[in-house]
Amino acid sequence: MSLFLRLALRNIFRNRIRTYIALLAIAAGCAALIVNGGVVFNIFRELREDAIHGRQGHLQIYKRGYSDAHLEDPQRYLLEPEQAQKILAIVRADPRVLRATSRREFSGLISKGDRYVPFLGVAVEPEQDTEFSRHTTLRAGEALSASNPYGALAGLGLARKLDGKPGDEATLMTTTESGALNAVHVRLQGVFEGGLKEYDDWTLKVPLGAVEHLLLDNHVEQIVLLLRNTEEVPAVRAQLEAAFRREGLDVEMRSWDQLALFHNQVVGLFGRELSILRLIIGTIVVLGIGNAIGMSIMERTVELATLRTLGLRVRAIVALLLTESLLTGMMGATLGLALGIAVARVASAIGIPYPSPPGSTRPFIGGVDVVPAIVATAFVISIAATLAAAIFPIWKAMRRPIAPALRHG
Amino acid sequence: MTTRKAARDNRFASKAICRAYGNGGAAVMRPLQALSIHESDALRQRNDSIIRLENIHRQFGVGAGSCAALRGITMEVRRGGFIALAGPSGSGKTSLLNIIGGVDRPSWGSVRIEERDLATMRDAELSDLRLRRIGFVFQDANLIPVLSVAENVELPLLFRSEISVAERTSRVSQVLESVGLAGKAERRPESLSGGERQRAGLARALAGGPAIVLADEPTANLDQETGAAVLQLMRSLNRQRGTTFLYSTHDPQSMAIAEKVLRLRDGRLEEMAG
Repeated sequence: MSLFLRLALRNIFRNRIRTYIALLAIAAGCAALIVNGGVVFNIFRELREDAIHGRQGHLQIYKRGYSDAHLEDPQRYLLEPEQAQKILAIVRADPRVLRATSRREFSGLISKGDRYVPFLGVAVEPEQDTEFSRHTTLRAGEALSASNPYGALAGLGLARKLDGKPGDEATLMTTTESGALNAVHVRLQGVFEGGLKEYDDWTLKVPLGAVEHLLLDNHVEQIVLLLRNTEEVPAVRAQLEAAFRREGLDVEMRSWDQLALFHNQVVGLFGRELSILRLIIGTIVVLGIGNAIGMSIMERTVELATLRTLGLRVRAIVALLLTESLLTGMMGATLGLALGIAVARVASAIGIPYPSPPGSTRPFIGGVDVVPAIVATAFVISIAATLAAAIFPIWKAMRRPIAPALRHG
Repeated sequence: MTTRKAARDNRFASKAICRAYGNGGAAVMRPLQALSIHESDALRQRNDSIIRLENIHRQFGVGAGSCAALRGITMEVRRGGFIALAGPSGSGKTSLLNIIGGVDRPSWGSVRIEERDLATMRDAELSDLRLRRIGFVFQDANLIPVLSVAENVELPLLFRSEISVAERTSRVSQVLESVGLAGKAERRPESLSGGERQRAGLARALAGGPAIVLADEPTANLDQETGAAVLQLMRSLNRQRGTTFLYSTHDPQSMAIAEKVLRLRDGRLEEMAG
């Protein structure tokens, strides 16, 4: 090890107690960033998985123009059955696609006895729906199955409004493309909780076959994909879009993050909070250790003046003092890294109970994710804060003329 | 241009200070011819001159609380000299050494070290001059407590890129040998006696092969015997290496060993002996 580094290291541990306190302050700040970031990331991940495996899937494919205009003219933006089959064949050929299913959304009235309740229907393929509803909790009854083409699953709120329970019979009424009123009888097969109150209050899941009878056509509104890995969404999307163009399919795609509005709002809010917290923790670290660094430099006034007298340039002494701060920051951040990861592991093992988030219907048990990017950011911020804390004391010390500094103390 | 302007500003500032202080100011402005080396000698010895000061003034502070530490010092030191700077406390010895070493700048006057005018040099150039051409010995040795004796001696050499690691090591060993600390190279300063610390400080000053060593009261904190030993060591190194030594002292015994004694009182050179 070079003499320069040896000197820097030995200077750090001149006043051990003060150094340990400074290291503890940096470590606490670093650990706080890791744990807070991990908590927030865990919430984001839960929300993301809820959105993907509860409602949106990873990618959705529609007829071009659907996203902008389907509300004004829903029939115009439906996929022909042949188109849907062609799309399904293409997407299922991609090994990164875990599942692909057809869906169609519609609305109408559901009646049970003398109760008439409006609903938002989602026509699904029963054999595929379980995988797409992993984050949906079945509160009563059983999941949809291909063997029961006229079964239906009601959201928790909708079931309450209907006073419905599994086994109850109900009638779905809606208008067909031609404007005629049509109805089918279904049996309430189960009650689910998707987690979002709005969703649970209005949603009814019905097998696609039954909906074809109800709407008197076999069009599909969207093809929904589940991928093996969420991180592959952009790559899969780009390749599928190219494949659809090659096949002359005039379709558009949306990814889960474009559709999950609730997730995006929460990420926006907490993301800002996380940035503010980083700033606050960084400031606390700067203020907390700035004093320790300032004291350590002030105590060495004569020594620093001696070094300058011996011919060391200001920049060499600044480099020495910054190296000391850098090493202190690195040691503190490493300690904080270990502390933060340990706290995250313990907290995840125990589980953190959360109440229902705004707009959600169920509490959940969260954890603290150890996210490499967050850990790296916390490490860098801790070191940067330590260096920042050193800048003013160093600047002050270097501005002092040598001769009076030699007489100091 | 900038240097000339700075020098002019400095002169104006000094004149303003002198005007503000009436008689004291007038005395400061008048060159102290009687106290300088004879003109003819100076001309003859110019090529041999390593330190040359002309009419050096150093004023600290402004206004009523200001004080003049040096009042028109003109002097010259020949290469290889062993000069004592004598005078009571507060006479300006340290201020003068600081100015000669480029640690401080005079309020007025010219300092030349090996014919280089320090007024024209930037701080970084002064640092380089100190690193390569001037060694410093402090009253308290001022060793870095967390470094061993050898590391203390090596430290300034670390910043001289032209000196290889091997040469650094060799120089440290040689210089420690020459001051009698070869056996204590790995010791920390706290475990050394006062005399040993001062010898380590001397080794640090000499390791870079300076032309001048400036020592500020090097024996003030030592007992008579140790102080005398340190001075003897300085004198013998002066003879062996030809290094110029200029040291301040108020101890008559320390003055006795010098080739020449320059006496300072109230910031003025009073007389020269030796």
